[in-house]
Amino acid sequence: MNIERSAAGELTIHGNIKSIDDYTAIKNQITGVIGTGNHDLTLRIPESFSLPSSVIGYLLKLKNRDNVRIRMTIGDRRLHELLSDLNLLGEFGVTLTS
Amino acid sequence: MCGDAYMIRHLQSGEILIFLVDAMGAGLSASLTSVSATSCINFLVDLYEREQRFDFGRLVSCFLAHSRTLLLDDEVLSCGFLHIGGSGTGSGAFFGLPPVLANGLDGSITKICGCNPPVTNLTESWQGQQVDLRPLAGLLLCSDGLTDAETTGGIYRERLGHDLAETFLAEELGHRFRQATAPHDDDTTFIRLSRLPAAAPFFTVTLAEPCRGDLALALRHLEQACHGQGCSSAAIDEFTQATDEALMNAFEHGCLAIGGEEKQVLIENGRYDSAIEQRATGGRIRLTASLNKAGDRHLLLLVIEDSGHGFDLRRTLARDIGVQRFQGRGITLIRSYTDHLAYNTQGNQAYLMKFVSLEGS
Repeated sequence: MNIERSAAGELTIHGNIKSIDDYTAIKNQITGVIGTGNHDLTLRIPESFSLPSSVIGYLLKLKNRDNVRIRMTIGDRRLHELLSDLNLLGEFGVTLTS
Repeated sequence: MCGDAYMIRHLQSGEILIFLVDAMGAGLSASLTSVSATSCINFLVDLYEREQRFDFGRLVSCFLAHSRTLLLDDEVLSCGFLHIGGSGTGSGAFFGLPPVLANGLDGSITKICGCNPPVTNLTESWQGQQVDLRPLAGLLLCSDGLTDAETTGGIYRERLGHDLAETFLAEELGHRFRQATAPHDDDTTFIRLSRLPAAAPFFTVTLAEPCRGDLALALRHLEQACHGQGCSSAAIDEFTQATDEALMNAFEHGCLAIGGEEKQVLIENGRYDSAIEQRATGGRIRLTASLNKAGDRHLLLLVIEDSGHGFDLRRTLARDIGVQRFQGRGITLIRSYTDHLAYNTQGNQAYLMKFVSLEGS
C-alpha cells in the first residue's frame, strides 16, 4: 500500500489496505490533510478490495464527531459490496468507478 | 410468524442437545405451538442442568406429556431430538420428520428413518434410537419445508442427498436449495452438522504476551506458509484480511481486555492507538492452520485461540451497529472474506474457514 496526496484535501491509496499498520499510515496522512482546518476529505481507493474495521471506525469518528465531510471513490466491486453490507455507502459518499 | 423452530443446547457435560420442531399449519397458531414446544424443552434442560441430572429419555417423555396438554384434538407436531454424547454416539427420537440424512466419511449418504409418528395429544409412548457418529462426516436434520419444496420436475428431496454430498457448509446447502427451488409458503429449517477436518497443521505459532508487531509478523509468516502450501494468491489475500481482523479481536479483547464499550470511548477520545501500544499486555494467542480435503475441494482452516474470557457471540451479533458506533464491525468483515466463521461456546476460539484453489490446479 502507498498513499499520495493527489489534490488538495484528497488522498489516493494504492494497493490493498490490509493491516493495522496500513491503518496507522492512513490515519497519519489524513491527520496531515485535515490538520490545517480542512473539513473536506476525498479518498480515492482504486485497487483495494478491503478496508479494515479500524479504518472504518476512524473514518466514522472523523465524520460524526469531528464533522469532516468524506467522499470516497473506489475501484473494486468487492469493497463496494462490503460497504453496502455495512450500510456505509451513503455515509462515506461512495462512488464506484469501474 | 413461523411454524418451525429449533433449539441447540450445550450441556454442562460437554454433550449437545438438538431439537427441531415443525408445527402443523402456518401463521399465529403454528408459531405459538412451536414456540411453546421449544420453551418447554429449554425449561426442562435448565431444570435438569441445575439439578445436574440430565436424562434424555426423561426429557422426551416430559415433552410428550406437555404436548398432550398443548395440542388441540386435530393438531399434530413433527419434531426430532438428537443428543450427541462425547463418545461419538448419539441418541435420537424422531417424530414424523423427514429421515435424517447421514453422510459417511466414505462419501455415502444414508437415511436414518424415525421410529415414531407425529406427536398428537394422545401420544404417550415413543421409541428412541442410537446413532453412531464415528463413521460420519455429517448429519442433516430438517423439516419437510426443505424436502418437499418444488423443483423443476420434482421436489428437492430427490436431489438433497447429492447436494449434501457435494457441500460442506450449511450456507452452501442453503444456496443450492434456493437456486433449485421457487419461493414457497412452507417454513424451511435444517440443521447441518459437519465434522471438522483433521489434517495435520502446516502452521502453528503461539504468541506469549504479544505486542502489535508480533501480530503483524505472525500474519506475514502465515501468508508465506499458505503460499508454501500452494494456495492461490487471491485466496490468501482475502484470508489474511480476515485473519488480521480476527487477530486484532483476540489481541484487543483477549489479551488487552479492552471491551467494546471501552474501545468506543477510546476511539471517540482519540486514545485508541496509544492504548493499544501502551497497555500492559498479558495472555497469549495461538494460531493453527491446516489445509484439508473436503470432497473435491481444499478447505483452509485457521484456529485462533486467545487466553481471554471470551464473549457472548449471540449478543454481539444482535447489536445494531449504527454509524455512531466506531467499533463492532470486525466479525462482519471476517465473514466477508471467509466461507465460514465459527466460535467455541466461550468465544475465545475462532475458526476461520475458506475454500481455496491451489496454484496450478
